Amino acid sequence: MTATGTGKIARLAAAMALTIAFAAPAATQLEQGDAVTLSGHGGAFKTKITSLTTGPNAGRLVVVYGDTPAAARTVYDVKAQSERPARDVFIRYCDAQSVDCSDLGNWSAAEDISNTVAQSSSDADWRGNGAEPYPGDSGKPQLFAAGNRVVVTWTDTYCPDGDPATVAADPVVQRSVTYFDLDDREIPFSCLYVASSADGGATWKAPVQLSSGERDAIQDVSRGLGSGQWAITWQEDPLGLQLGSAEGPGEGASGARVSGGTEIWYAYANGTWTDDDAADGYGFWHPPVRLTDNATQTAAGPHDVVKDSSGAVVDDASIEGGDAGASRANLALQYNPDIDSAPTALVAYEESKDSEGVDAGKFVRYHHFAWNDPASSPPQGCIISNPADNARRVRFVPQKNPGTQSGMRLAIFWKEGEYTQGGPSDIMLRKGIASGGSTGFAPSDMTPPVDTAGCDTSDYTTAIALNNTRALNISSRTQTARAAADTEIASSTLADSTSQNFEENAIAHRALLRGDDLYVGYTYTPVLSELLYNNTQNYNFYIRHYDGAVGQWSAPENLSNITDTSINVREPRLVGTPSSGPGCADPSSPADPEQCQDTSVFYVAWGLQTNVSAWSLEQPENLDLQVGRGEDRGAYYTDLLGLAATDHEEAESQLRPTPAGHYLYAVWNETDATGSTRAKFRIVSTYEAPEDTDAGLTGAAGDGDSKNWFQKAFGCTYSPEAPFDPLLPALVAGGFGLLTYRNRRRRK
Amino acid sequence: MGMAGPAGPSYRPAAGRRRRQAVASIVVGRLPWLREIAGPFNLLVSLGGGLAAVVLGALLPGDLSARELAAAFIGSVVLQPALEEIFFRGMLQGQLLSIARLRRRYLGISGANAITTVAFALLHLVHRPAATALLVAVPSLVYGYSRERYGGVALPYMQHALHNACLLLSFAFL
Repeated sequence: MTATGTGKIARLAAAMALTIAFAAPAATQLEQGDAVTLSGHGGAFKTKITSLTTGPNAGRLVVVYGDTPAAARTVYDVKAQSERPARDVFIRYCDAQSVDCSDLGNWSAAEDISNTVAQSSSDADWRGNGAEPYPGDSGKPQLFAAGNRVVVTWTDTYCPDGDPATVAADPVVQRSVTYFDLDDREIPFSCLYVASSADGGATWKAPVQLSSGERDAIQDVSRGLGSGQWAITWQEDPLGLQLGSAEGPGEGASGARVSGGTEIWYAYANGTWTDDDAADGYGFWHPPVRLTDNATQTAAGPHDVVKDSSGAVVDDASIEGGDAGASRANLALQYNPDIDSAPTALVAYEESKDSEGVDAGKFVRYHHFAWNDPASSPPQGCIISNPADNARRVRFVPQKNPGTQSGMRLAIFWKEGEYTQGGPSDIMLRKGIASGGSTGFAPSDMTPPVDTAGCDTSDYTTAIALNNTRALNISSRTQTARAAADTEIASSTLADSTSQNFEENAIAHRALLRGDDLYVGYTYTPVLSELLYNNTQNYNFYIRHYDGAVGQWSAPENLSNITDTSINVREPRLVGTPSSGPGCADPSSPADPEQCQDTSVFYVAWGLQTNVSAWSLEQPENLDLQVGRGEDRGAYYTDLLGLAATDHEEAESQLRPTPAGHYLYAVWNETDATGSTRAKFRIVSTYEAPEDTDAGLTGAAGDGDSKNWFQKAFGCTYSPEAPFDPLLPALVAGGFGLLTYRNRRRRK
Repeated sequence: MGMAGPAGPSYRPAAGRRRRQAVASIVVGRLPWLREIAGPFNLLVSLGGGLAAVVLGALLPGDLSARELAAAFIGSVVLQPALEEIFFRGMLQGQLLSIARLRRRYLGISGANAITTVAFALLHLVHRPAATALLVAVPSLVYGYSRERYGGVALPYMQHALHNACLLLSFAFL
């Protein structure tokens, strides 16, 4: 063969290699933009983000965070058990649809919407110096937007109006609690505030004080519709915020442990957002009502001292009490005029069992009612958990339209186990199915079914005898659980009781519902005691996908794959794309394709934290934040991206993707070595890279990972770990070269 | 080169033509007649092996997304069988068949075919489990036999690609 012939062979080999390289489909990966510091005072706290998807400001990002203005005086943080500057609530927004929000100059100036740090409504002896004015201190802000409307709620120790039911500024009735376990520090109760904006966060109405401070408010949630129907829930403890026993993963004093008589409160806005009752001080909000019926008597038994605003000890006869206490309510508002007669409020919470000492656990109770008619809901709600177990931390994901194949409109899920707080638990779940004219939101729509005949009871003996079918056990035996069809549930781990493999623990449950697809995520450790004490186990983030169209649960998939047991995954996020924006009015020819919702895309994120033994004096340290993107309904995941990976401590990420999901807006809190905490913002975007056929979040296939099994076992001789494996093409090219060389030698 | 059908091995081009042939032509060998493609042996191998692949694919748990399916189809059905058949059956087995004693057959398996199959299985060990490497020895022997029977790699490639396609589609959809 001539040199020309050799060249042809070389070109052939090169062409083959290039063919393979370019034939490999591109895969989406994530890249990050510059981080922007949104807060200015070094005391950033619980930063939240939302985006407006409809209305004239569609695409706008609104961020809320707590921060410590220069005028802030010192307060005592019961949760952190330390002194710190008081906080206000700040708002900023950026029109991401038209400007680059990676440029701080494109953000609005921070607006202090609570503005209470320089004010005081009561005196308290909070540091042993005698009674002194206690500053206003805003708690964790909660943010929700729909249409062009934005609502922020928070609790605050500045409660000047003793009776918000009247327009007049009534005398302060705010009480305080003196914590025996905290060196007799006296801390005023908090009341609830709500601030609203009808123009996408540009201007804000004066905050409305919804509660008086006679009871201690916390755990507020607001939800609403773009048309104006809105609701808020929160809890009020008549004995003040309880410290907790620090047996759970959190720091305690979060409102999970409550006194008897603690109620869930509910307030709703009229649909027009106009003040239709000038005689009250609630603005366009209707007077708050109790959803529960726990305050059946007055306080009794030993408890921390409660004082009134004058500093006098309040007699037990003037303090509400009861045997049961409700806590950690979740709220949703949904309206589909084809299905619902009115916008429907969904409320679920945990409530201690009124068992007179027989049982220390909690029930999960569920309400659903027309948003403006809370009285129509029995105050007991419906017990949907296993009455014999300890159930808590209930969450749910509803959707406007039921799944077309499954009818799925609701997934409600919670932690449940035999033990009390801090003990091992599983994640249990029921689906709400709309069929035959039902809305999918009633207890009777739930599957596995609940005993609707008597589930709305406050009587412990009746409750414990309820015949609720066991909810689906999402997390049981996570490391060996297999995929299961609906028809196979009885023989799968989904049917396990919580006592099966009781040493494992699942927490931090999240879910996403999009049409017929339900995704449930949670952090899981196979042996809680080894995690807590020996650090030979850790928490990883797992996800399961339920394809309602075919009735199939996937096996749990470990997305974090942290094999170093000195590191835990915490604060996971599972966020879907929001609904289509106005730029997608015609999906076949959208003005802005990025505004067209891709329901097959979602984002996951979590924080990393050192795993410190419960026996150690060391405190866990927050490490980096990681984010990944699921595509094709979770069939593919991008590689993990360090959302925030500096030497500083990063925590509490909040995510908001665009409808098409190619961009992700993220905020988090970052604490430097001096203890200064800032609210940070970053845009994460996607790009197409040569596909790594088996890379991404999952790494090596575990026992329960069957999805990539074909590629691992078959797919011939190419490497599933590399986008392009040169081995075989190199052999072929080498073979051609040798044969060509030999041919030339023979002809000479 | 014999072109008259499945009368016997026709792996070696006539000496006079060998000098004028390009290496690519030597490696690929002759192209099959239509009646060879539709012949009983090829149909038995193709359809029988395809059926076995469907059963195997249906027994395996899991699924593939559309993107994964497309990627796997290009890799497992189009490119990899082509490269493997060119290298193993075309180059390696073709050269081994030039050694007289490796042309001898036992139960229809020539020494060249056996050695090629061992090499084929060994290469699968680089990226695949041992069970998979062992499993591919059976079709490798069949493809090697086809290569000798038809005098080229075109038919083994078709068989190989069809088997992989059946396995892949069955895995994805059954």
